[in-house]
This record gives sequence, C-alpha cells and structure tokens, in this order.
Amino acid sequence: MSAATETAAPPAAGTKTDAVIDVENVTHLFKAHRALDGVSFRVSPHSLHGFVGPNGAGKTTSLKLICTLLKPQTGRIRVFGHDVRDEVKAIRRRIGYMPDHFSMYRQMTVFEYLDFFGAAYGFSLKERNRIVADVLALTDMDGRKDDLIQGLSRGMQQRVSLARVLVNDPDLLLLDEPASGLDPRARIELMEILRELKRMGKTIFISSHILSELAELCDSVTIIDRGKTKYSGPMEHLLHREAEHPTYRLRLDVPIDDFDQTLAAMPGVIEVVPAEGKPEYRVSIDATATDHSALLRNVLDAGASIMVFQKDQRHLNEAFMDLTERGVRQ
Amino acid sequence: MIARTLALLHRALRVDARMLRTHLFRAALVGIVIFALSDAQNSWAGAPGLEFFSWLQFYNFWFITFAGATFFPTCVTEEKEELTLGLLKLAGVNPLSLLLGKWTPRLLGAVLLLSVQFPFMLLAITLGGVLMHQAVASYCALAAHLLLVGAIGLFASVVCRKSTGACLLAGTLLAGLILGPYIAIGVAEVLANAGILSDSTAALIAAACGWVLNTSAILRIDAIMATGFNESPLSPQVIANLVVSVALFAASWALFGPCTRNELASVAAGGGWWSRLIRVGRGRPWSMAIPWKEFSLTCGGAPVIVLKGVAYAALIAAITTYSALAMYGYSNPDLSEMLAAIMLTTMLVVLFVEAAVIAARIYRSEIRDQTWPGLILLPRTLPETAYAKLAGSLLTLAPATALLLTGFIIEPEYLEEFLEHVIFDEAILGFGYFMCQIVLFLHLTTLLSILWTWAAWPVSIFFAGFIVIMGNALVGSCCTLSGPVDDEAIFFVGSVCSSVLIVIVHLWIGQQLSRLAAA
Repeated sequence: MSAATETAAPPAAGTKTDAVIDVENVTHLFKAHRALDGVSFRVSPHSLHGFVGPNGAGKTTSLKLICTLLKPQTGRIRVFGHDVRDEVKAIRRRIGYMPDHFSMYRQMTVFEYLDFFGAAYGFSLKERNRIVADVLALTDMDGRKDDLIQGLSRGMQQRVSLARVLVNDPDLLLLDEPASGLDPRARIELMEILRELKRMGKTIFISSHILSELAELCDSVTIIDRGKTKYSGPMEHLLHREAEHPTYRLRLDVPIDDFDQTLAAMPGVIEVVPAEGKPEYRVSIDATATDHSALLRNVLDAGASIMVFQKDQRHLNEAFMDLTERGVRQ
Repeated sequence: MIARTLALLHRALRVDARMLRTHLFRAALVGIVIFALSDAQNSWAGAPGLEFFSWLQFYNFWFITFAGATFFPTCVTEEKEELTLGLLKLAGVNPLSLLLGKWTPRLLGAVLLLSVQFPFMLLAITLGGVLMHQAVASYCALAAHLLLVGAIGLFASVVCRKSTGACLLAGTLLAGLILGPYIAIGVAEVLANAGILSDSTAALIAAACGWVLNTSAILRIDAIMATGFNESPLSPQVIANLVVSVALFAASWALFGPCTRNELASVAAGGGWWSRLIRVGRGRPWSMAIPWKEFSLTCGGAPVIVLKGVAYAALIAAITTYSALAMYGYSNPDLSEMLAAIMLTTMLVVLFVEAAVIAARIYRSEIRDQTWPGLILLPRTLPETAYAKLAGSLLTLAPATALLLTGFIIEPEYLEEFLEHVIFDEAILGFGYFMCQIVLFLHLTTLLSILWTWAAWPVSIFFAGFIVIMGNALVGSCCTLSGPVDDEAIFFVGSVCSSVLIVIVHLWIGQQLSRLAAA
C-alpha cells in the first residue's frame, strides 16, 4: 500500500484548523542526502502523538524543523498556526524541546539549572520559586535539587532535562527519544510523568523506539521511513486495521491432537498457524465465505473447550515492520 | 608491541593524509616561504642566500615553538576527552606503544610539514652566503628543538586531563624555557645591585641561566648564521635538547598509568577544584540570565574576578619593584609615573590576552557540551543570545579595566598625551588600522574556535594570530614592492579592507552558530 493511501485512509489526527502541529509536504536535504521527502502529518491538541521510524528515517530532522532549529526547504510547517519560517519567537514561547542527547550545564545544581532557564524565559524571582518547585515536584526531583547535575545518574539527568523543558509551561512538548538508555524503572516512571502531563492538557509529540510503550501511551502515531510518511493517524486505526483476511486467536482449555488439521478443514478457513508449546492457533478466514460466529460454532461442534477466542489485534511493532522497509538507509 | 605501535602509527598517518587541513597547511607554508622570497628580493644586499635562509630558520623556530605548544599537547588528551583510552588499553595496547603510536605520527607530521621547504634551502645555498654545513647544522638544531617541544607537549598531554590544560602547561613550560633565563638574570642583577642578593649568588644564577641559554635553538641558529661558522652539527644545544626530550618521554611513560587510571571518573568529575571555586557566592540568576550564566559559569564569577584582581595587582607590584630597583642608583625615578606606565602597559597586554581567550571560548564550550540548542530555543533571536553571552563574558575584564583606569587616574597626563597624539592627530588612521587588526583577530579566533571542532581553543588563538600577522606582512610586502606609498593612504585602505573582512567574518560566525544549533 502506498504512503499516500496509508495517510489518506484513516481520519486525520487533527484537522487543518485546530492542529497543533501541521506538517505539509516537507522536503529537506542535507547536501545531496534527502532527509525528508514530502512528509505530511498533523497532531491534534491535548494528544500524545508517537513518532516512529527506523534509524535515519528523518525523525530528528522533523523534530528540529518543528522546534525551529532548522528551516524547511520546501513545504510548510505550522505550530499553533504559526509558520516555523517567520514566527520563530511565538513558537518558541509555547514549546519545550528535549533533544536525544544530554545537553546540560553540568557544573550547576539542579535548582540553579532550572532557575537559570526560568530567568531566561523572563520569569520574576517569585514566579521562578513557584515554577521550579512545581517542576521539581512533578519530576520527583525535589529531594535532589541541591545536587550537581554532573553527579546524577542518567535517569535523573533525563528527569532534569524534562523538568527544564517544563519550566516555561509549554503547550507542546517535543521529546526526542526520551527513554533511550534508561533502565526499566526509570522508563516506567518517565511514562507515568508523560501520562500526568497529558492529563494536564499538554500536547506531547514523542519520538521513540520503544514501540510497546508507545502503543500503550499514544492516541495517534506517525510512522516515517526513508524520509516519507508511511502512516499518520489514530493509534487504534493502525492496530485494528483489517488485514486482508480477518484473523482470530483461539486458545483451547484442553489440548486436542491434530486440532490444527481439524481447523483447516472447516469451511471458510484459509490458514491456521499453531503456536509452539501451547494449544493456541491463529486462524485466518475468508470473510466472504464465513464469519467469526460460524467459526466459533464449528469449533464448539468439534468438541473443543475454548479458553480464549478473540480478534487477533496487530501489535505496533508488527505494523511498524509491515510499513517500513528492510535494510539500512544509505 | 611493535605491531601495535605500528598499527596506531599507520592509522594516524592515514588519517593525517586523508585530511584536507594538513595539505592546506603545507600549501600555506609554501605560500609564506614564496612570499618571504619575494619580499627579500627587494632588499637583498651582499648575501641574499644567507639573508633568506636566516629568515626561514627563525620563522621555523617560532613556528615549531608556537604550533608545537598546541599540536603535541592534544595527542593523549584527545583520547582522554573522547573516553577511548580505556578501549585502547582493553585492546592490549601498552602505555609505551600508546605513547609512541600517538606521539610519533605528530612528530613525523611536523617534519613532513616542514619538509616542503627543502627546495628553498637548496635555492638559498645557490643564491650564496650560506653553506651546506650551515644548513645541516641549523636543521639539526631545529630537529632537536622540535623533539624537545614535542616531548614537552607529550608530557603535558599525559599529565593533564583536558587539551586546554595541556596546551597551557606546554605553553608555560616553553615560555619559561625561552624567556625564563633572561628574566632570572635580570632579577638577580637587580637584586644584587640593591644588596638583597650577594654578588656570588647572582653570578651563580647568571652562569646557570647562561647554560640554559646555550641549549636554546634560537641562539644556536644565530651562531650558525654567523660568517665563518665551522662547528660540528652535534652541538651542546642538540645534545641537551635530546637528553631533556628522552627524560621527558621517560617521565611521560612513568606517569602514564597513574595519570590515566580513572579516565571515566575524572571526566565525569568535570573540573574538581574549579567547579567548587566558581560555586562560591554564585547566587540566583539575574533577570538577564544569559550574561549571568556566562559570567558565573564560563568565566568563573566573583571568585575569579577577585583572584584576577589580586594577581594583576601583584604582577604590577612585582614589575614596579623590579623596575625601581633596576633604576636605583642610576636615576631618581618618579614612582607614581612609573607605576602608572607599568599599569597601563601591563593591563593593555592583559586585556588583549583576556579578550583573545574570551573570543576563543565564548561559543566553543556551548557547542562542545551540546548546550547551544537549548539556548537558541529560548524565545529570542540568535544575535540577542550571542551578544548576551558576549556581555556576560566582558564582565570578567573588570579587574584589568579597573587597573587600567587607575593608571590613567594616577597619571592623567598619559590620557592627555594619548588623546593629543593619537585621537586628535594624524596618527588616528594608524590607530584605527591597529584596532581593526585587533578586532579582526578576535573575530577570526571566534570563527576558528567554532569551525574547527578538532582544535582546542589555544589552537584557534594561535592560528588567528598567525593569519592576521601573515596577512599584514603580505600587505606590507605588496606595498613596498610597488614603490613608496603614503602611510596614511595605506592605513586608510587597510582599515576599510579590514572592516569589510570583519563584517564578513562576523556574518560567517552567525551563520555557523545557527548551523551548529541544528547539528
């Protein structure tokens, strides 16, 4: 399926008028290398939007364009309706960008670092006291506020980095691989913070490689590969998209010998894939010849005791693998 | 061990050969030699070959000294900064192989860099006035000097944690070696005249310093270029330089283990005493946050201002005391006039050096630590952020500026003289041209510091100075070639051209800063 069809099929994540981020047909070249090639997607307000793609797909370039560090060569990007080419200050006031690398003044304490950015955004001393206390509490760093940044662990530094992004109370958070290099606990805690931020009404645009967590966390997703948009829309649509033939997961309570062959012989069944080591099968049917009710009846008639019967939902990583191409980008 | 050393050497030479910059340097060096040749052609008298060759060798000496102070000290520190030393150790590369593998390619690179002059040496001999054995002796002296500079650089590179510290240590040791004996002899003489030091002790110091001076390549080259020179190339200078080089290499080898043991911990610690010092009395950020950050963090803040003030005052006091004692018995000096003159000259030099250091570090540290995008994303324009950083950095010039102004207050006549003879006189054009060169130098320093990611900030200062000095020499040479020209016209045209260059470099810095924010 072509990229155009993929992006056109599902409802847009945000309409043209209300989209927080509106990327339209953006192409960006680094000398002869085409980093982005007609990328388009939209992000609706108050949503948590995942941005996934293989290494070198153009994720970081897209983020840098959105946060005004780069200017698009062709196409248009609007953030809160402001063009990234001309209205840089207006955009910067409302966004918080967390890059994929630690970039902190390591000789400052956590408090000094956040206080400095508070002052840089023009907050008064009184306001800074309140803001820094709030972001420290939100990121659970208030106990470490007097520690030097250089002495903190990677997970702690990531929290400080996130706290810094929150100092100006941005409406849109742009997070580039925020969970990379974190241990499981730090990762879970970070996801909790992101959920909390979403509850607070922030729009979060997150680039990540950890697909399982994105699937759980995000309302919508954009998948890009080799500089092109492969899918952009609600997460639900991507995960529940109809496959060519509907597939069901069937798990028996008690194993039955050669039950895969019994299933294969049932009317309308196209394919049966047994799971290894357990009485479980993935059954694909021809939707024009039968449906799930008929299949279920046939299974019961065959004397099987059913533990699980459900539509086989694709995982984000499967969708990701389907939509992206193999091989390393040159 | 030899295989590992050769592997490192092989890699270093291949990398060196692939890099455009080494070839550009060679081309620049040939350009300078050709320029010197054309310049000397105008003023040649009796022995053109000797005159040209002398110039070439003195230029080589200073080039080796200045470039060596920044080229060799980074050979081990670059591995320390990139945390790759541990990987090399894990690969079974022992300290000796590592030192040889990292140091020898640079030594060879320096020799190859200078080897482009070989045809010009033959030309000098053909032109007359210099003989082959003089050429051989002078190149032996320079080779020994190169080895010494390299060994000092290697030692500094092993002992120091960062390239900047290593460059500073190597530079200080070389300055001490070249200038130290003269200073020591002068001080001993003055103290002896004032009766503080006995004559025998002063004589002993003078003898020791004389011996050190005998090991100086610059004096040796001077002696070689004298008419009738007929000594062996293996002079005391060559032997002494070789012995000291071997000793320094041995010391580097011995200290390599202890100095590189805690690679990760030392880099993570990020400064130790410096970090603790600059936190003293830092306070909350001002409403102008970026100048505060620049002043408090990059430049050290109030503690460093106080330390600088004390150090500069002590320096002025020491020079004034020395000058007063030196003049004691010969004349009756006016102490306030002397103090003011010393304050003004010393602080002008200090201001120039401090400005160069600021220019080299102002953006480099942000780019190295990848903090530049964070600043750029503040809701302000790139020039606003860049100039805010500059404003914060300039605050650290306060002690030197205060002492300079104090000099004018002590002796207001100097200010009147300056205004009368420079500002309100025809010399204004010359002064304007000079100031343009300073501003151009500072701009070039900043540009090189953000353009060359491989170079430590002292390297950018050195190369910016080299470009400005050579550019001026080239312009001067072109002016004399075309016959007598009015000085004022030269200064005027030079100032206009320099101003255009300053604007170009200024815009280039802005463009590069913008590009680096998105890199």
